[in-house]
Amino acid sequence: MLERLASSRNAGLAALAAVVALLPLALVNNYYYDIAILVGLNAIVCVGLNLLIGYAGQISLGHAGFFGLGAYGSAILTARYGWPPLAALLAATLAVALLALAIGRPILRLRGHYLAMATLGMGVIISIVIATEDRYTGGPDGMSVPPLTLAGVALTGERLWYWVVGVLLVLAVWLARNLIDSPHGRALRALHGSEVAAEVGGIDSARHKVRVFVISAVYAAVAGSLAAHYAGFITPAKVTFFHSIELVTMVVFGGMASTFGAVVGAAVLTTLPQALTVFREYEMVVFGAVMMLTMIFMPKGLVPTLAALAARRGKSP
Amino acid sequence: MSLLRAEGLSKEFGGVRAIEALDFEIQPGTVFSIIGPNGAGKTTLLNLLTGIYRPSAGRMWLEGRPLAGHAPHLFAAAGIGRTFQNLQIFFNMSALENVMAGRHLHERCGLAAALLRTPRLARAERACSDRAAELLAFVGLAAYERSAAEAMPYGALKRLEIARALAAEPRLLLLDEPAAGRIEFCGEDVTAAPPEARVRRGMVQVPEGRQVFGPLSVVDNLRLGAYRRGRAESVASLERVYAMFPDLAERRAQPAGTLSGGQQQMLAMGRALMARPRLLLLDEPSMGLAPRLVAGIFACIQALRDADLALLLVEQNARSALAIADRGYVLETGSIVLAGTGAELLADEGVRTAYLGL
Repeated sequence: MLERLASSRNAGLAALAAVVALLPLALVNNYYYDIAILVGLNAIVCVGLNLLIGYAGQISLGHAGFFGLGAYGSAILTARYGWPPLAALLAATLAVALLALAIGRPILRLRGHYLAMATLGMGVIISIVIATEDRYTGGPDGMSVPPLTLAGVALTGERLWYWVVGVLLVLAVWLARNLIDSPHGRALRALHGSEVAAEVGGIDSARHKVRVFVISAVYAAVAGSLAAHYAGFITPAKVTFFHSIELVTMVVFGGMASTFGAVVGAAVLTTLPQALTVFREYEMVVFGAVMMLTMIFMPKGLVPTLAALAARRGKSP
Repeated sequence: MSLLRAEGLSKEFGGVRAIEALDFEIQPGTVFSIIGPNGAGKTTLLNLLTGIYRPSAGRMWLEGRPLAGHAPHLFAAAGIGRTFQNLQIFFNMSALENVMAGRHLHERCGLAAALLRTPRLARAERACSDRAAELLAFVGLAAYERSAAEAMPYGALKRLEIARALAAEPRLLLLDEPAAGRIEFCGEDVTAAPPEARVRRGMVQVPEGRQVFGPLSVVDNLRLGAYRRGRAESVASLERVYAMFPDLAERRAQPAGTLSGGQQQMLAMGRALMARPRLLLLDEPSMGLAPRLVAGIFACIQALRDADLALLLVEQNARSALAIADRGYVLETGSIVLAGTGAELLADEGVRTAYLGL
């Protein structure tokens, strides 16, 4: 039975890798590549956020803050202090992990609405600090970021970036799914199912919550850092409360407790505003409507709902 | 040495003493039972013994080592496992995964190994899954191994909790009401079945105070009783009900609200019979009826019994109820205090003074 589980896990991963490998056939110009890269970066954040929201059952309305800190950390260290981009990425990610650890310990004692408010407050503080510390961050005008260099070669151009982000997304999904199928992942799902039963079963719920909070923050920080280098420019817009809500919407829409759901959610909700350019000014309205309709008609999210439908089809010929 | 020792264990909730100065010892390899009515503090005691509550006073030792002020997971690590009175199942997992999660204490796995899924971890996971499957088989749930917990019946979930607690290999296992709250009907577990599912299986209630649909006609009230049945079956049932209650046949087009109390009671019983019950639950059928009508209702109940229907009758009119009862139970503040045949209970001195006014 475990073999079957393992093979189904690898099948999903192989399917994702195949999509990443074959997608360029449909990407007719750089504009499409650009959207695919945005999808990939959002998907990386969502895969991490899904570990926290979908599996551990804890909410965060402040993950754009971690994304922003990763982005600005890399930007400041490379542009202002001349650090090598890879070292800056690692340093910024480490700093975000430590910050998440420090914040996570007190606020993950909170539950439900209180945790939502605390993470929201955290995100708002980060975005205000970034917008006002203009000496380092350039303030609301933003700042430019040097390109990412790997072994002395500068990564430029959408086509090259597509492969970097694609490979990293597959890696992110692989790591997340490994975690879920490990004793750590079971502990997270258990404390989501019944915290008291998890604790009397020997699971230190506080520690596991903080750990998954840190892991999800690391996913966001890495994606943020890459986004800054890819775009070559960064503004506080991606650090706002609205971006946090967008990320949560992607996770919920795609399907909580479904890693591929998080990827699909990010893909749909990143491309949707591009496809419906007429709605651009009403993007938040579209997001809100999607969230409401998802909650009403498929509370389990897109991918789990479709999977259940397919399973029912398979059973009754 | 005793396995668990408690001294002066107390718990207060805002001045109310739930547990007061308990001293006890539990020896290894023994069964230690705690009995008592609702609200006696049984679950509170278990919550103290698993670290969910902190005692207001007193101390505990497990194998001579003090247990106090710790978090529940440390009590678990010390060797105490438990089940819950109200199910605490991980409903987001399969039965097997529930038990695997119970083995958490015995899994040594670093975060890096988990993220990279090392071959060693994969082997450990296989061993964990095999052990969990053994435990499921041990509690008789081998057939549910791959079932989602949310799709399992109540009785199976009770056993799943035991398997999960055993998975941690505790030295002391606390079972909170392991046999509590199970209702079986015709061999099927209906504990968690919603009302309409019970009606479909044949458990139908005649509610207290008749609860007829006042504005609807008698025949429409009866038809609604056969809501879950086919049309042909419904017509046949209607004929049987009319044969049993000729008054209803005469008034079939009359609004139910205009019937007398006795007729409404007949209608409520007729409506329940339309669902073709195997067990009819009657709640105070004689309430508010004139003595002549009460006799009529009890005659109907006897006729139904003679037609091989099982009836559960809840009545304040003890004399009439016991006179027709094959078996009776006297319930006081939620507990059965006396049981016997109807005749035995009618002859019982306590029943005669308390319920029959003799």
